Amino acid sequence: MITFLSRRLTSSIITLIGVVVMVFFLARLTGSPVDVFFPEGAAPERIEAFNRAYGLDKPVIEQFRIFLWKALQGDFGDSIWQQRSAMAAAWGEMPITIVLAAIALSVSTGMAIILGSLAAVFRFTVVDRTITFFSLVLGSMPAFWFALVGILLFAVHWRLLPTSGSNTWLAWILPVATLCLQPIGVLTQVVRGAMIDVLTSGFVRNARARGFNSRRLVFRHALRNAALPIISVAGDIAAGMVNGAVIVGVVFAFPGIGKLIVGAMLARDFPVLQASVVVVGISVILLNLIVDLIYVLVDPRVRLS
Amino acid sequence: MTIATRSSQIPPLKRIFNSPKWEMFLGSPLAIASFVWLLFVTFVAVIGPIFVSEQANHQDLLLRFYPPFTLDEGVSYVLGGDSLGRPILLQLIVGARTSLIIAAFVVGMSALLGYAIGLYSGYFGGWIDNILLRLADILHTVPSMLLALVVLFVLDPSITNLIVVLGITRIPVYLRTARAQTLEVRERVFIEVARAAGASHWRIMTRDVAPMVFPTIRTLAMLEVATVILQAASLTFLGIGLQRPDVDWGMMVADGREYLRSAWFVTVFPGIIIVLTALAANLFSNWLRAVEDPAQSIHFFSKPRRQKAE
Repeated sequence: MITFLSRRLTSSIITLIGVVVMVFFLARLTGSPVDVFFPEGAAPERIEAFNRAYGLDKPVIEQFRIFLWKALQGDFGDSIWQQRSAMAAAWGEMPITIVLAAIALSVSTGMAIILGSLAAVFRFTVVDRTITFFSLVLGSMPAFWFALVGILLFAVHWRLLPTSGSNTWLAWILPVATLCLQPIGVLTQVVRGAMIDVLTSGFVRNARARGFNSRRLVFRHALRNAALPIISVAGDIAAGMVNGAVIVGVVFAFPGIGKLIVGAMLARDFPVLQASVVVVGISVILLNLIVDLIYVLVDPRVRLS
Repeated sequence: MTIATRSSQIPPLKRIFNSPKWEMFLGSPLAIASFVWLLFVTFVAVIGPIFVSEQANHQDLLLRFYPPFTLDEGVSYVLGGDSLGRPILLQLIVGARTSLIIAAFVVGMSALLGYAIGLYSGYFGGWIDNILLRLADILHTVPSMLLALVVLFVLDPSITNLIVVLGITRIPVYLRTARAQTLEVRERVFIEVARAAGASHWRIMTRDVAPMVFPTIRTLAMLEVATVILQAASLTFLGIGLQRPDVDWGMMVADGREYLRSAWFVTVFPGIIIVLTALAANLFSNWLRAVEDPAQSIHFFSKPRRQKAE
């Protein structure tokens, strides 16, 4: 168990370093922040001073050495646009994204468990077909378009919800719905498949033959056994939330890491871009570790092997 | 006479129409509908732009946000005009080609590379396998859109770049599957027999292992079509990867975004086409999987198994 975790941890750290290296060099290729920061024909002395202040005057390899050394100490430099450290900027945006993703994840998992279980219990009937079709439709919808149609109907046409912001709970409805779209589509199918496997298995048939209460059987015993496939895709789905956060940041101007990354990219704010990608990377890796842990806790068979 | 020679004597068309798959296809209205829609979109994407590409980019500011569902300005404006007075219907036709080219090449490229690398990696193992797996892990950990976003921002906007970058982010999906299956096939007895008979590793890998892995990769590729269509549209929607005069459906949705209040149709129509196409691809690939691998099927298309009375 401990060797399993430590192996996962080392491979995660190697992954993280790979991501950092990639982002560093890719960001340099996009051009210099000077192009965005200064108007055309700005005084060369000022540009030089700017480059020196952010260490952009040194050769790229040298920049990378300094960056890596400082990054190991947790220092990702200062933001070029905002008057604070890049890491502070990235961490500052994380809480709201984590809250948003957590809400979306709970809503979509809850919906998927209900819909998937219903489809499995009433398998091959009209109920099953309707639910499956519905989940495929959700999975085929582009998140950005769903978000725009949501604005069109609920904000412009019926004036029920605000178009952007995050101050009132009403403003959270559309972003959460946008993030839930894909997960519900995928998870419902997973839940359905897993539940059918369990419901047709011997122990359920046996329990039913002994006169067990049906509803209790489904939601207590069958669902617990169907949890494994659901947990195993949860990590992927949570990583997909980052993609959703980017869309939500752009369409609803919803604050969070997605909006920060897109903004930093357009402004060529390298320190913030690097810091945010590292923060996202760490979060996704941590999440995968947690998912692995839950997996081991829920299924004793994994512990033995 | 072996089975192989016998079946090859029947003309191929007759073989298709006599197969149980064809019967199952006819028995499933959803499979037919999605197949017909995919065929239609492909046909339009191949033939359409030849006739309409010039008219599609014709700007007429008098027809700016021309309302849809009237025929006064001819068939091309039946879905209205966009922010520069271009006919939306014709833009959709030209965009279909871009969207489908991207989807086809991305899926083809990533499936082929993932298949080949996964086979090699799984068959030979060793340090190359370790490195390749680590690379796939890195690609898997970074949210794919984030990676594509950053990379495409660096490169010049072009269809080729979009295809290459999206293709690379999709490779791990196939690589992992192909590798896992190769590992399993490699241990079977018939491989040992082939070895004993003196077949080279290369020959075993390409002639014996590869055909066993292929069906899974093919199914996976079909399932990936919808995902790739959606991902490509997301990127072009964010204004990354394509530039006018190139246009695809995602870009059209983005164009209408600013005018959502005054001209809803500029945003809504391209989105509906994306949903329909992705849905058709999803339905059809799920049907195919149900037919080819009943164990893994979602039973969506199979008829309910009613128990006979008495």
